[in-house]
Amino acid sequence: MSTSTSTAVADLRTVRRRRQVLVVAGMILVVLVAGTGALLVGAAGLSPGQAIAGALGLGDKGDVFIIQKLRLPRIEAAVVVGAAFGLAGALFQATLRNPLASPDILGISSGASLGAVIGLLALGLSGVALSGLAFAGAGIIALAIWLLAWRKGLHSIRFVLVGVGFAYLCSSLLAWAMARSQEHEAAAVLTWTVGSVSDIRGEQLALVAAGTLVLSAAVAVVARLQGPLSLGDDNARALGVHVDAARIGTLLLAVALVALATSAAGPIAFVALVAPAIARRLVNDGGAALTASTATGAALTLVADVVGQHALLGVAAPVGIVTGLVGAPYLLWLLATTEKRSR
Amino acid sequence: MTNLRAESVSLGYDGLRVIEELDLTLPDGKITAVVGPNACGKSTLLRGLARLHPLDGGRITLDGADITAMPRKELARKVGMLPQSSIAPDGVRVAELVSRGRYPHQGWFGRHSSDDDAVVTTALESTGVADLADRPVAELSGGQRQRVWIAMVLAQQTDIVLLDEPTTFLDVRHQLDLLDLLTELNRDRGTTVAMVLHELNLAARYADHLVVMAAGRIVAEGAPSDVLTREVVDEAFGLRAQVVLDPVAGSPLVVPVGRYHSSAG
Amino acid sequence: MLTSPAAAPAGRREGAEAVAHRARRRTIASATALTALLLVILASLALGVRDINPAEVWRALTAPVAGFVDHDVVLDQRLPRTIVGLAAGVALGAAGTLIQGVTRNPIADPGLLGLNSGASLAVVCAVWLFGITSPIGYVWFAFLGAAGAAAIVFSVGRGQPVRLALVGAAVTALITPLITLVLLRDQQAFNLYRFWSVGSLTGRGLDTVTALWPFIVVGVVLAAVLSHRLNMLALGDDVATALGQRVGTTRLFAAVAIVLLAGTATSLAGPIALVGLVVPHAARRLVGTDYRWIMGIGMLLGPVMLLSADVLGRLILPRAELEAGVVAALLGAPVLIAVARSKNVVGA
Repeated sequence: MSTSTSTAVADLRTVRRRRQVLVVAGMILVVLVAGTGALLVGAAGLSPGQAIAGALGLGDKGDVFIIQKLRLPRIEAAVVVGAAFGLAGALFQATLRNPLASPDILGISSGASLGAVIGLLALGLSGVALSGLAFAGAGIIALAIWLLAWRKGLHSIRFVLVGVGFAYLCSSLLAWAMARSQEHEAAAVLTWTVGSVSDIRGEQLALVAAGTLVLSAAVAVVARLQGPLSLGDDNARALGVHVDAARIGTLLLAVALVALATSAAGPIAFVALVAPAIARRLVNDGGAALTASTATGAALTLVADVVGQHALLGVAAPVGIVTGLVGAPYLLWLLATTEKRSR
Repeated sequence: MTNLRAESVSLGYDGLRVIEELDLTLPDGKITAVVGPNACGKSTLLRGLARLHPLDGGRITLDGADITAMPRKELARKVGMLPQSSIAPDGVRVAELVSRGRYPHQGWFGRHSSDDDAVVTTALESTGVADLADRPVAELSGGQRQRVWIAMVLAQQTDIVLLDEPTTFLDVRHQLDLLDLLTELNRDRGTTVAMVLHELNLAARYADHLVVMAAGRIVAEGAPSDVLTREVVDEAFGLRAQVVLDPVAGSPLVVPVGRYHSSAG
Repeated sequence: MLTSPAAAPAGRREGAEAVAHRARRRTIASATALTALLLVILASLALGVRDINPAEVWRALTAPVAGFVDHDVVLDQRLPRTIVGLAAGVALGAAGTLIQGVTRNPIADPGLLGLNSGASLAVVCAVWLFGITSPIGYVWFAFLGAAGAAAIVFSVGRGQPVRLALVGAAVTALITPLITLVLLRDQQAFNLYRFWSVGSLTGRGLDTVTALWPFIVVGVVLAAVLSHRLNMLALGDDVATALGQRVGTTRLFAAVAIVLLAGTATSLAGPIALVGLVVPHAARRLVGTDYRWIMGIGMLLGPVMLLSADVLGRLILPRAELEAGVVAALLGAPVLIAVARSKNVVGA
């Protein structure tokens, strides 16, 4: 009897894992299809042969430049940044046990925007220095939320409430900056509140990619604690988890991921909110769905960027506009079709 | 006196039937306890009786009148219900929570009459929480908190009170304490009490009328001493047990056997 | 019974004292809030970039001299913005209280439910598609936008608190990029939006209030009637139902009132952050858990907060004004953080 039960438990785990693998594989497939599309379609139409040759550094010099310097980095940037946001969002939501806890709602993204906008308008900065200020903005807001929400331990509701306060504060300062600036400056401010992956390449791309990879590896170590943590603080303690340390570690990693991605791309709107929500509903095992959220974030951002570049007639829309347009209806549809739970 | 009755009632969740064509009459002025294994539909039945859960079929009548045709407030003046999912708002104080039980007797703005105050005071006193009246509910112990909720239902001044597992989370002493309290209400006021209980032996001791449910139907009902037999316990719970006489109350006492102990009889 | 007969009366006497104490506290809170409102109204009429002495303000109101600049400033600028602030403040205070009561969620507010973004999108579209740039023209769009967003949020959210908040965020996530898209296409819309989105009491004539005041009246009456029902709803849907409340009906009417109030406030003053969120928390600190009192005090504190933000905005910078929306956020964020840090938030 016990062997058959243990096989049943193992079977259940296999089914669950299969579902996770399926979701991740599906998202990777989306990335591949969208990426291929992005390589082939553009102002200069290339055939698949030309594209492959270009990617390998062969063939026409112009083609090589278009593929290697323009299209490929943009795809890579979308995937890396999207993955970082997706993972960070999943970490926030799991750790704070609140489906709304994402850097968008908590003010961390708008902190990055505010940092960049101050750099732009008050200090006249650009390039890496501006990214640095965005990174600092996200970090400062996260730290401030932290210090103010900390009272004999970290309570989710407190953290979220304080975060919402900062989000409103930052966004109203941004709105004010936009109202007070010159017309052309205002447009730049708008871009920094939206986010774009069109200008990330070379060293910056390498830095963001490497950083995301290192942080993800660290997350993989911490991820083992997510199961116990999701059962509540007391149960987690009973299972031998050092709750506060685990939560602090996880949140630090999540903040670092957001700050890194935002410094390069701006606060690509709602990826961190929407991607984990979609992933959790697709995997549907009650877990944090970290891997699936990462893959979903990458897929969502890349698809959004492709759509933004080509499908919205008349405007070259930065990716941050489109992520909400692509992700939110899907999330709404998932929410509307989910059966009413008993409680 | 009022009479609450379920007539071939069917209940379920999202198309899944939990209870199929069940008949039940709560005896007037008595204490009824509903027992049964987990997920047998006992809570759902109680929720149906209080119109907290829509019926899939059949009807529930109060003195012969269909309760679904009744305005909710009118029903709430006749049938009180304490569900499991009650929330005590942050910072709310005992007297204030209890006075919210007056809602079905009040107008739109819920202005308090001196009548209301008298009823609330009586409810606080008869549940023994009068000296806690000004304490925040969140600071009370589990047993005190449950008394406060019962006081709220009492303030509703209904002839029938339904309670969904009122003794959950209470230790033995507070369980007995609470059931004694309900017995007093029943004796002093003639209130008809119906409750879902987990603890078989307490149900047998305190109930005048015992309803044993399994898989959405009633296995047996009647006086505990008639109902609680080895056969019924086995049928409802799939449990091998001895039924002896409770040396204190004279009610049946179920002694489960288990796998590691042999039964002498 | 557990209580000894001797203990009960003593306990009750203490209880009666505490009840009297709390009643007194409520009276004091009401009186303070009312006084604060009167003072802030006076300040709003008397203070500004231009120095006008109080006697002249009074003459402007009672016996205005046409063409006299001081009188014109009071009548054409300060009076309208005071009235706009009063109307929008009352509406935001009531709407915020209703939203938090209905969702049982301490962070719910008109912004989080997507109402502000809906209104913003509609305003931006009105400029872009129809070239409407006057406040009296686009207030109706703002109103319809807020109502549309609320309709989606409440119908998909199905009245379940957690779901409602998530749907609100998703709707905001959907609408915000649409706004940006229009802004990138249309410079005129962008320029108008830049100023509208800060949230301000200036630049709106009294004609907008004249057009919209019936909505506020209906919304306030609904909110007042619903406040007692929120008390039952706070005990959980089941308890409220068992006490004889039709919970679905309560939610429906609350949704209507929220749209009327928050929609009107946003139409009048733009998307003002944090007033609807902070005011109910502050009111709760003052008068306790009874929603009838929270609602009443909230309706007083809403305009107090909005008007003081506006008045402070006129005084902070030399020779320039800071919009009420920015100052409200600067005032509101610390209050919200203080509320979050207070003991009784945890476990909400």
